[in-house]
Amino acid sequence: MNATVAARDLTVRYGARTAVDGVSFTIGAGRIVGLIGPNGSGKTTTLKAMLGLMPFAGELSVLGLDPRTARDALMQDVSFIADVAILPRWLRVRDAIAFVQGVHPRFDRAKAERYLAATSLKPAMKVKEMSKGMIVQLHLALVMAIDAKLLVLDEPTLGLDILFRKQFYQNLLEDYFDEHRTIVITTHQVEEVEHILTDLLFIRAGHIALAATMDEVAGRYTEVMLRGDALAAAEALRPIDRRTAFGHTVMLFDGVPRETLATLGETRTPSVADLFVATMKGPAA
Amino acid sequence: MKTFPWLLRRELWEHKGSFLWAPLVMAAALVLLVSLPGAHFSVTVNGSDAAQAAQRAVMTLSASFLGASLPLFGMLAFVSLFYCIGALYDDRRDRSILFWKSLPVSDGETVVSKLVMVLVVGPLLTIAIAIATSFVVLLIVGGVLAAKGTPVLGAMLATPAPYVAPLLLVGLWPVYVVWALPSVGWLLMVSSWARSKAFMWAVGVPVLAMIVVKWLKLFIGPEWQGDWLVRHVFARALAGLVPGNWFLFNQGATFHRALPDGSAAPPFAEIGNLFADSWATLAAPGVWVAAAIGVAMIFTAIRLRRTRSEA
Repeated sequence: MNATVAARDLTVRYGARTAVDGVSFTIGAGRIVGLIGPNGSGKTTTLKAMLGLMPFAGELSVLGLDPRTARDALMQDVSFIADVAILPRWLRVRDAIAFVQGVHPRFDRAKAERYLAATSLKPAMKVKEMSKGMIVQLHLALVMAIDAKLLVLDEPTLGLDILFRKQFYQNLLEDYFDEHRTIVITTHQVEEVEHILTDLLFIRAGHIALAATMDEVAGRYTEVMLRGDALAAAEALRPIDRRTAFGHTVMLFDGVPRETLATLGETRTPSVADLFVATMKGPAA
Repeated sequence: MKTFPWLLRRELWEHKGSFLWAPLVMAAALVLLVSLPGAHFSVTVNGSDAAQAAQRAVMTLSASFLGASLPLFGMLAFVSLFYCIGALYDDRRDRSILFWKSLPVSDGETVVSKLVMVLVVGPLLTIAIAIATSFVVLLIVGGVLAAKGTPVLGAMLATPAPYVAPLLLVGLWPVYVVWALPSVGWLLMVSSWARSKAFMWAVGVPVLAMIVVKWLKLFIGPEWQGDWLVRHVFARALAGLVPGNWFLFNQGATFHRALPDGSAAPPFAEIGNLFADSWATLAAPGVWVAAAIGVAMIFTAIRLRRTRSEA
């Protein structure tokens, strides 16, 4: 397989602290991957290693290149918002567009202007005059107008209201994504992205806790809202998580056939958020 | 791709205030000062008649009219110092470096754009503004003198000075570049390296080092060669940005203020000597060693820039 990103034993240390501890994963072309983990789990660090922003040990190849040595070539085909959108305070909207157009061969000015037309940003506006949400809108417009093979978004919608967030993910899916591109997203608002993701990568304390496609997740994990009398039978199947909802016990199972579980109650595929919580609570994978 | 012009444009967008507006404001202030009705230039007429007085006035003005813009060069040093310290540090501190690094621009190109800004754009802009200011001041002074009955402008424009002196000033720019390299290298390296308090590191380290050396001299006595260290190492980390610093560091070539034979001096002798003496400082090997060390520090700044994405 021609992987967009392939990591083997990727390790990143900050002094004595190991932020990413020997992880291995593969991200194929045409996937939308949710890299999901709690604060401090190493997800931003992993992304920064992929983008050649920090030194690492182990093997990591992005679009066939080593980010440590081939960063300049890599940035022709990768665009990113790493660690929350930040733009320099003195930059004007029109200068930002002109600059990116000047240095990036794959920047589509008309596209950026179309995205900006949907916002209240004006060409002469400086970043220091903008609200936090407006800065994110500008950064997203610039990044989305770059025809990249790999787009990395770290908390892309932080500070945006729900209307713009919905609009953004819709644009991302309809206007930007195609089978030649790969998108890696980290976010705390998992519910908002789960319908667009094709793959999940859970990271916990520097280790990969789960790597699966959404289809695999649907086949492997089942959530059951138990009938009152099925508790003992369900217990025997060793649920990985349990909670109570509307007076019913809801259990999450890993690798138990759905037909078996259907006899215990109402089954459904768990939400990514529920799966995430269960994975983070459970023993290390 | 024409990346480099865009990088320079970016520097101008960010630093137009300090490299363009600040000298323009200072130039305007200088012109205003000269034109204030209270500003009297006392022309001491030593000659026996008015014609001789006028001739002396022409000579003095020709030799020194560019001096009117001297404060602008002091400002250039100041602006350049702060520019260099912030050049590779400010965007790490506010983390906008992550935006710049998301574009296909190499760290080498970025650092070189800062280098060109401080060694080419800044000095040449200041020289241009200085020349323009000097001419405006010259016109005002000429007008005032004419009103007092000593017309000099016509005579002065007939001498080569007003045409040659600006060229000589531009001709000093390469000398400035060579002498500024060690300072620019040191400051950019610290700017690229510091995780916090870049100014403290950049200025504090050389200044503290100089103090320690002077202090050691008290203990060790006059045989301690510390003065050499101060003059040729620590002072050069900062002073290279001051135009004319070469007269401080090069003992051999001092500025020949007095005319050799004391007789019929060419009208623009001072700027002429300044030019020749400045270029003469480049004959000493020390300046080139220092410049090479400066270049090495610039390469270090580029290397550091690669892996430092946050302050």
